[in-house]
Amino acid sequence: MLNLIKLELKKTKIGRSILGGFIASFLIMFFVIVVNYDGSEKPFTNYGDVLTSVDLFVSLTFIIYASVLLSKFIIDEYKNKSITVLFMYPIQRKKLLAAKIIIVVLFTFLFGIIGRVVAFYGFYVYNSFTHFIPGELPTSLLIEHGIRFLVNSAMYSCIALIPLYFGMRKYSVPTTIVSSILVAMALNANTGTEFTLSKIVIIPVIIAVLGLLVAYLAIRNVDTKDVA
Amino acid sequence: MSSILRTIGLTKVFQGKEVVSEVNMNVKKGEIYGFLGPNGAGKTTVMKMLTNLVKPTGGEIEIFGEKLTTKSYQMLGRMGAIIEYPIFYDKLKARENLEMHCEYMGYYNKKAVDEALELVNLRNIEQKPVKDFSLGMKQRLGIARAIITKPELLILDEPINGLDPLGIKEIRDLFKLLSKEYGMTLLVSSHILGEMEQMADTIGVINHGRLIEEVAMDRVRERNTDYIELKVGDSKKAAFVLTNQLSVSNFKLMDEVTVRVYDPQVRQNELTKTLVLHDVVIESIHKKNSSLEDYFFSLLNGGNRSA
Repeated sequence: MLNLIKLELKKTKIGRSILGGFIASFLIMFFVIVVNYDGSEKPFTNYGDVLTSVDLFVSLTFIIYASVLLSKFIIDEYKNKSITVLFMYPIQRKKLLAAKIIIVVLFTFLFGIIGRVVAFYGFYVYNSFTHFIPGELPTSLLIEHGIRFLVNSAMYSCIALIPLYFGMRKYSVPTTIVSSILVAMALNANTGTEFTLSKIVIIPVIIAVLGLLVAYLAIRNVDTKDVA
Repeated sequence: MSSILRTIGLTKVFQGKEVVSEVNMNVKKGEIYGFLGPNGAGKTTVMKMLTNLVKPTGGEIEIFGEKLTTKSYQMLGRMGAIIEYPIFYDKLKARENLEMHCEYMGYYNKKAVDEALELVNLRNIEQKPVKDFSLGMKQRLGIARAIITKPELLILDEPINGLDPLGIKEIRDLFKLLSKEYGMTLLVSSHILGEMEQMADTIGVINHGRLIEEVAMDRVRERNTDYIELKVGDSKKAAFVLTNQLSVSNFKLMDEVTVRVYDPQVRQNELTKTLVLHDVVIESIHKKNSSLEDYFFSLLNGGNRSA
């Protein structure tokens, strides 16, 4: 399996995607810093606000980023028919597809963490000069959000698989990416109030499970399905 | 010779339409099997079923003496194939594609890539990604990829598509080499008759999803008789002369003025002399050969009528 993952990474030139992940992380960092210069009303009054915002931005960004990876690793192979080459190898098809899905999940998970750390730490360092938020960063808050970062990164890397379901129906890259944007919006849109679907803890959990189910469904029938 | 590939009543239905029906193929070990049929006859679908990309609706496939099932992965390691047209990871270079193929196939031989490129005569391609290749180059690279691991069975779908005449000859020679020197079995599809005639040991003719005929080329050659075609003033008179003066019985009156003499013993000058002596006007006289083409068309037309 490790070998299959290695071959996949070689094939798709993962380097560019990694670079893109870092660029996205730094853009989010840039964003949480820049908003502080917007007029009189301060967007963040305490570190908790910053951590919550970073969490949200990174989640949204990497759900969409994951759909680009899904397109690159899975949808494109079906669309270009290079999947026929892959499926003529003496390797179980389930393993071939699983390797691809593992890459997307791991990538999204790792960049979920990297993005959150980069964006928040960048803000923290910058803040030590400008003092947008006065005072110390409480350790308890850091631990609380640290755990939340980990849990959310894991959960959102599963949620990010949902677009695969829509993308696989007609092997369409635009469908995959648009559905990822819809998933991201559905979870975090608010109606002028503070309420969003993702605040009800059970909902993201259910959707994450759905994401895993989508991955299972994509793999399940691959042995008996015609590759046209 | 034992058979390396066999299908029994192979059938595929796509959306209620039978695209392959009851195909019984028999490919013998070490031979070049020409799979001949017009576009849309079902060649590619059969080949997709043989490589497990498409699952049969009915019937069985037996390769290397084993039944092909949805989980027959190991078997694929002993086969090389091009299906439909050569597909690559086209952002990668040719060498990268071949190296990756070897890794997936579990074949580790550093020299293999160079050898394969050499065999298909692909040169000066080091810097270009495959997406900049012409169809002919892709075809060569596809063949290189199929043969790189020295598989026992090669399944090549229209491999000479997009090649120039010189390229076609090179590839034809390569196929013969692979069959003779490496002992590979080749299943090659094409709709170009002349090519098949020159390289195949056995020909399978498919039309409308049915395998109409499976025959050894040697037997086709035997069947293809030469004949002399005569255009005369009066074919009945000519027939009379043929029967009574030359004692030829193996001839056929095509119409009022055309006679075909199939008897190989009859010489052309003798024929002319005798006919002229008996006042038969000769407009023209030709020696003709009915090739695989005639044979093939007669098969296909027969197939059309019965469909």
